[in-house]
Amino acid sequence: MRRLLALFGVLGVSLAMLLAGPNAPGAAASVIDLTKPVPVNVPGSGLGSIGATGATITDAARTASSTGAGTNIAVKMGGVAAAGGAAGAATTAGGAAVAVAGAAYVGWEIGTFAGTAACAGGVDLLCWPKDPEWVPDADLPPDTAGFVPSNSFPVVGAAPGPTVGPETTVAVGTPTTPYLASPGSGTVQAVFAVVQPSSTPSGSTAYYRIWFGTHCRLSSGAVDSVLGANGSAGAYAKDGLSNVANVNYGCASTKKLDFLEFRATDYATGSPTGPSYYWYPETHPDRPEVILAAQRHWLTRGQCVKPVTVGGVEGVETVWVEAISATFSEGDPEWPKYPDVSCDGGQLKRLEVHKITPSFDPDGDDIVWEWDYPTDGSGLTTAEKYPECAAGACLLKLWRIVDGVEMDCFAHESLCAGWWSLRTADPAVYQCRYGANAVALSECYIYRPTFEPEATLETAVEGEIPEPAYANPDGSLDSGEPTDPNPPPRNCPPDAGFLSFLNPFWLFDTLKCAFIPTSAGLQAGWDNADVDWCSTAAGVLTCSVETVMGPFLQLGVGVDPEDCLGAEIQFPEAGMLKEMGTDGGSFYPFQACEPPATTLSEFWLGISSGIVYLGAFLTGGQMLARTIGAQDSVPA
Amino acid sequence: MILEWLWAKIAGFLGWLLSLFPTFTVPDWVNTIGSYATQGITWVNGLHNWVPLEAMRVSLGFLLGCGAVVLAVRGFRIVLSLFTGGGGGAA
Repeated sequence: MRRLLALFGVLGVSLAMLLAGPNAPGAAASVIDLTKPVPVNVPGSGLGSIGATGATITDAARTASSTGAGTNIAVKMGGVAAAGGAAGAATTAGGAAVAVAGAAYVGWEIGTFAGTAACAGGVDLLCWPKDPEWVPDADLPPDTAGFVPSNSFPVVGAAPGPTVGPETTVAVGTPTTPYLASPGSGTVQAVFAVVQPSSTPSGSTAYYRIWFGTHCRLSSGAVDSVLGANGSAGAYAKDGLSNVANVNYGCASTKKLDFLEFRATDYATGSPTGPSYYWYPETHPDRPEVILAAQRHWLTRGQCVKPVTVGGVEGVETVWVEAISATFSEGDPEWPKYPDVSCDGGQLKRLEVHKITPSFDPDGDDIVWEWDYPTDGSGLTTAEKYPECAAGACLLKLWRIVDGVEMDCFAHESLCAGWWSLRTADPAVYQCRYGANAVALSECYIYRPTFEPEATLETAVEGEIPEPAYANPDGSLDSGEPTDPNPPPRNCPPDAGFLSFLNPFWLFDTLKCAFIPTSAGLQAGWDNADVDWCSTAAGVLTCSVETVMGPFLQLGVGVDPEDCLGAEIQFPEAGMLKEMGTDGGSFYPFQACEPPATTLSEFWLGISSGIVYLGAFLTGGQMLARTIGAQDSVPA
Repeated sequence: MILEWLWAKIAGFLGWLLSLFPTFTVPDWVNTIGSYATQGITWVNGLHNWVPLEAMRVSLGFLLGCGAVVLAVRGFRIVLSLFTGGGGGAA
């Protein structure tokens, strides 16, 4: 009876210890289950404030000015339209006005413009236009007044005798004769920008000549094959001589003016020395068009990377999305905002805004704003880097690369046994991913104990790993204290105050400190003794036994329960088994992949395990029984 | 705190006591056997479909533990017999 009571007493104490233990229900917050892949939003992997509506990135690098509303950019990616910068009315300042971006999916605000204090210095890309002296349509081709390509060109001087004049330019005045005027005669003035070098002797003269030809049409309107009045003229220089020449041109009395041609000419020989230039009268079909108010529009292009699953394999695809704005001209009092583009749940990698001017820049070579996803991840949280993983949509998984084949460690545990220790030697063998995104291998450090049961997280390399993390199994953040694998140092002895010794709780804590050792304290005591156990006479024996017997304690460790093939035996390529069509000369004599082998295997393992356990129990019990003088471990 | 201090002293004493005994070097073949054993166990693990490896490991650990207890008890008796003038069985 007393033995029975003692037995119940022991059981009761054991039960109480279990309930009071660290794993007792309600003792602390739940611990993440690391035996299976966990959602990305484990603390320490940078979840942050991501919500069900997606992620918002504030591109701090573009916030170039702390003053003025125009320096804020907000890029909204994924999810539904929300936030990402205040949608609102246009802001007008500095003589120009641009509508503020609404930021539905991708957008940014531009609220400060040329001429305001916020854009002083003109370095902020978001100040549009940047230049306080900005002129609308300044990028348009200049008005050449009918000249093609221009009314000025180089000419080279000459002189009778040894003196050769330098190169200079001549500007031809604009003719006023109308198109198809008859006889189409007129006079223009050519002005030579004569600059003689200072070494030229005083009184020297340089002579220049240009050639004018008049293209005429017959009264019927047909092109005349005979060139009209040749206005060859122009020989002037400096030092008291005029550098201005009047050139006469004109068609015959029965003909009409078509256009003029002129070019530089060698003074001495009269031969052309340069290409032809032209002047077309107004209304002439070949006269260059003058663009006074070019019609333009914005083209926003976004490069998106989206996770896709093809045939059960996770991957990504890259696509470009585009959107164009309403048409506007730079002289308009208000411009449309840059159009938004959506990556539709993908990740934005690059953003471009082109100013398209169909009349002369239809390809949109003028990129007014561009943004690239920071390759170093600076300033972005994990949630911002991987918006497709919002709300735990992605799993944090460890992979092993075997001959180029990616193997899921959670499906093939034996492949990743001890991976944390082995990763340094060849980090390319393992890969850590958020969904389809490869991330730093250290992100998977929480799986060290998963594949190395004897390891603990705190033994990982300091500085290389993120903060130890815990979360609820459903992926939500754990706001409570986690079940602590590293209990903080005890407050031992407890702080003493006035009359503390009268406090029974203080006395109890003090006594507890005195008599209950910590594992760290015991370890420190042994370490301080500086005993190299394996070098002592007794230790040599035990350590040798451990060396020999230790491997036997690895029986069955790391075995993949899903591996039905078992041990592999390799035969030479040209062996008999190869010729029989076996798998590359491999032979699996112990496989149990299909019935009836699987049934037999399970049955036999159950029976044999029972026999082994029973035998060990009897043998060990007999050893112990004989040690204490009993004859047998099993009572008769 | 007190027990930790006491343990530190005991550990120091044990260390001093152990240092009094001559030691010897383990022959290389011991390590060789361990290496072969590791390779052998790796291959034996491939028989997991038919051999109760888990049960064997647990049982082996149990038996080794029993053996360690037996050795400890008998060693304790031997030491104790030195102080009791041969009283008690050492075997």
